[in-house]
Amino acid sequence: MKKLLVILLCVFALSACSSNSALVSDQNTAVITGDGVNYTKQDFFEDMKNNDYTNTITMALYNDLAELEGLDEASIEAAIEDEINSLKEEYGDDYETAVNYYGGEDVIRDSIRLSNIIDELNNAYFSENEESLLEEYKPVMGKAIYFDDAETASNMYSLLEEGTSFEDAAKEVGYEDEITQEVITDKSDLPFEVKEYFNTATSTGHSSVLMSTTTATDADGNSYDTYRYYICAIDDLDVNNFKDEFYSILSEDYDSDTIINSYLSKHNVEVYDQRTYDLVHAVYEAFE
Amino acid sequence: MDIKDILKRFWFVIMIAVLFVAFIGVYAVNSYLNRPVEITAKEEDGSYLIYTIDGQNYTADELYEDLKESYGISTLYRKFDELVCDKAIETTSEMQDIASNQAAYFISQYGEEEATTQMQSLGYGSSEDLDDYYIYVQKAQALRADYLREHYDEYVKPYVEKNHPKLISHILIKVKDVTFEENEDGETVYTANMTEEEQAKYDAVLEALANGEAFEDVAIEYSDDGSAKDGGFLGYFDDTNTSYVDAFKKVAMTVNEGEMSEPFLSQYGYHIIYCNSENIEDLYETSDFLTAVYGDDVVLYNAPLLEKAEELGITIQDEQLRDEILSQIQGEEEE
Repeated sequence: MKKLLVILLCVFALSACSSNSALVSDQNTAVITGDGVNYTKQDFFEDMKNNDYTNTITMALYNDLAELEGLDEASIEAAIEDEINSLKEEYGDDYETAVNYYGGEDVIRDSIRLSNIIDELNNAYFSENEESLLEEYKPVMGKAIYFDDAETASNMYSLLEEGTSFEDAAKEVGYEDEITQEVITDKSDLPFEVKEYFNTATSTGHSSVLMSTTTATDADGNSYDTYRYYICAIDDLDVNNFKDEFYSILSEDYDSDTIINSYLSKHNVEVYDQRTYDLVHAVYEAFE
Repeated sequence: MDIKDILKRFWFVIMIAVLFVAFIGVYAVNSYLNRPVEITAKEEDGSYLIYTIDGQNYTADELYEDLKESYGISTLYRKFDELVCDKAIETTSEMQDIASNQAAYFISQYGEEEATTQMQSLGYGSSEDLDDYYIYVQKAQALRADYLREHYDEYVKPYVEKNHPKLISHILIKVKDVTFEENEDGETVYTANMTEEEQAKYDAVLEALANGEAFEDVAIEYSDDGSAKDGGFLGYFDDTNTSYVDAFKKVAMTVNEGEMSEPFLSQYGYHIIYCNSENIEDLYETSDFLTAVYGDDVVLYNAPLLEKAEELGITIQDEQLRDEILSQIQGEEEE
């Protein structure tokens, strides 16, 4: 009998190895019964977790963070209403069918809410770390276009020096693409020489001709240099005038893992459920 | 002392040693599965915690309520259906074989990871539950088929008389150059300009069929359609079908059980259709037929479930969810 007891204890120890999941209260309460069926509240809990755990946990965590960070609930709700109204306008009579396809209006509302909270948290993070981000990104509002030959670039430069506007000068030398004013940062996809011009500028205005060299390889495997001749203009150096655009670039570019981790550690998040831990750890790798 | 004596004398020590090794094994597997951090469950004020944030608790009970709000109805309905089907329909070895084959096919086509994703979206744990899921699907189908058998005059007879359901097979002899024009009645008339090779295949098919070779064998040998590997079997067809071109549909509607059509042309080439069965018992085994008869009628589709649940005494105890589920599957009527 003693031996049997020891064996049972060992078996129990083995089964306990994989059980670190939280139990729901009254876990043995029957949810479905009859004809030998005893489907309990805990069974139901586990099945619902299988259904879509990630969304629910993510939503709960972000709602808590929104509250703790003091995000404006009224403006989040207003943004949700705005988006729902614009969806209704866009889909017209097909609105109900369209939202049902994605699981109903509640699912859409949750998704918009989550996206808004993430945006707000990102912006708050960017605002808090603005000094270092400005140092890292060095944003300016400007334009950059290039030509394949030095002469045309030089002609445009001459026109700019004579006082012709950037757009008119480009048009006059035959530049046909659309010229867009945009936020240019140290991480923009531009050649080093061009980025250096933007990074070091202390006033608005136009650049001289900036030559960039790229090495390419022909079909026979021989290397050769190609040249581009850039003309750039800086329209605004004060980030306060284009903060939304700059934050939008940061949101696309910045590692969201870093941001969420900073919030999780700032608010001392501790996880006591193995599956939740695995999930949070999988989504936010640095979470410990 | 030989090995038997050692086993007999030290069986208890050996068993403890085996359990100890298993214990170490489980630990090693957990470590291998990138689980360096073992989380310990924590209970506070009678509730298990999921996480804390700045000292605020998010408990298992709160998670339960959040999940219930989003997925309660769909999860519980599926479980209720599964449990009733499981009790109502006995699992046969044939069902198990079919389920195993379907599960193996799914994994071979989409892989373990996709299988797990799909299974979790259906409320199961992982790809290991595929067999159980496919058994459930067969049982759900059997339950609905049994109900239709019992209510043949009410639901099945009118459908059969109106839409002529059947199981069909077909042979396609592809013809590259098919021209068409409209005749005086507005019907499309096709003309085939066959190559020698196409003509030879066409002749060989007709000869084989005329010689009494099984339609299935001829399809396997000659048909240019993807169904050739299945002996030309296309499965369920009825007059409401919109998957086939008009020329095909028109002929398929006229072929009776055991009959074979004359060769006819569509833009794809020559077709010959064979009607495998119009037998109602064969149709009950076909999910497409059940789907066609039940249609979009949620109340009718769930009638067998509710009837069987009542007969077996299986009930949902959570009043709120039960009422919501019943209001959806019984129309406006609530228990």
